[in-house]
Amino acid sequence: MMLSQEEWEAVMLSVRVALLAVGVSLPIGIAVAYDLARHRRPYKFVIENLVQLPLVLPPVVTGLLLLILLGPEGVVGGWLRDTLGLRIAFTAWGAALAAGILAFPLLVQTIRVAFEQIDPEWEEAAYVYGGSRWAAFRHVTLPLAARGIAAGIVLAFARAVGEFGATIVLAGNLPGQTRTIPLAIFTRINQIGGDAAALRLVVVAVVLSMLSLAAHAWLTRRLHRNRFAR
Amino acid sequence: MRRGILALLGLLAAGCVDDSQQQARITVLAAASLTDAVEALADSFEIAYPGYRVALSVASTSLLARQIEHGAPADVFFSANVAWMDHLEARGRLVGPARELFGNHLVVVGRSDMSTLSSIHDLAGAQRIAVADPEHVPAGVYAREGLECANLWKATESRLVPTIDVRAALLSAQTGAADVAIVYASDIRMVRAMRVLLFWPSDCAPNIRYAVASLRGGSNPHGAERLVAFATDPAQRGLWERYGFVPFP
Repeated sequence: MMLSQEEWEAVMLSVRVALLAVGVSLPIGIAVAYDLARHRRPYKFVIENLVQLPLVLPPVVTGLLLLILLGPEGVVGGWLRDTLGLRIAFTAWGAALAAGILAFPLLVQTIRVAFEQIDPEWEEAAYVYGGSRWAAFRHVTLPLAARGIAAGIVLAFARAVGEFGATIVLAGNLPGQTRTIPLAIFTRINQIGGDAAALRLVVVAVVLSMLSLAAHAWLTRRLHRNRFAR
Repeated sequence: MRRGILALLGLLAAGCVDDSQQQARITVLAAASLTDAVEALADSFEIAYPGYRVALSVASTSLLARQIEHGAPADVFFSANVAWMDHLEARGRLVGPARELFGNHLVVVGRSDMSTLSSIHDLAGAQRIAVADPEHVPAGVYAREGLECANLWKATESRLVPTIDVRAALLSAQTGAADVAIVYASDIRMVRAMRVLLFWPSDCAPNIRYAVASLRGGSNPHGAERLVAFATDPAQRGLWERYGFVPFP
């Protein structure tokens, strides 16, 4: 199966956009997941609800909200452009942002489970031996949750690669900039004789997704084994 | 390792920097049903004006119009529908008036083993008629107009299968989910194993018009002007016809 140059471009763009999306959202995701796993805040359910929202909201709605906020004439978008010269809507940044937000619930949920499986006493032991909170987190919690975090990354990556609805609304369908695999498939479907090209990209999407899910399964299986070994 | 991750992210971000600063780039938004025709137009435009490069973004007319309303940095808009152009013009998003490009016809299609319909009134005998959602999708709105004109709306309304877009209506008839579909004449070029059962009678044909305009939010007004002139040039009639559209006389 040979991909055309344009199809390769879409595949590589998808991978880049998804990596950027996951890379930027990872530190935030870890912080939110840790907070949800360890602390009882009065409005915890509100945070939980907000984090999970992109999972159930139609992606088109998420995209429209983002477009209104971040479009060149939106409140946030206009400010970003004027102060930082950063344009989000209709650029690859927008594609990464849309993908990152849609993948965020999966990232947080997977990492949160990993944190919840770690006995808080282990962290407390680190304090007893004089470690700071950060040191305990860095040297005890993070290494113990590493597999769960990796599983979250893989799952979020898979979701980010597959993102369509919010991306086409916020970032448009620009070849080489925002036309990721799902958008390229959509474009080909609208073309006479585009079926073969669409199917080639479908195969790539299926293979990428299956590899990601396999990696996720492998990582979480190890996670459960760790728990029983404890 | 942390520095490595940061470097990697920087590299990814750098790879994502857009090249919209290039003066010669013309960003074009086009209705999904025009994908092929506008791509072909862009190819011949780039040959005629080697200094320009056309970047084409396709989606439904309504979504593109919303994006333009929110300031999409695009130069030219090809709309499948004049109403959306009027909407944008009223909001001051167009440079100059929108130019009408060509028309389209409605047809009734079915699988190629079906016999043609002798009149529009034979539609009353079809069990399920696939049609783009008559509530808001242009193709469906036109279909409703055509059915109402022929006094068939009441008789067929309960047997209509509304679909998300006109291509989905075509697919429904192709797979047998519906007996027939009401689609654009230009769509039927998409599929084999389908045939036109009936051309919509001209006395009830809705006035389907496609239009093009250059946009205020664009970064390349000269290129936009050239492309619009190129698209509306009578020399392109053959190209539009080739993709099933109906140039104005």
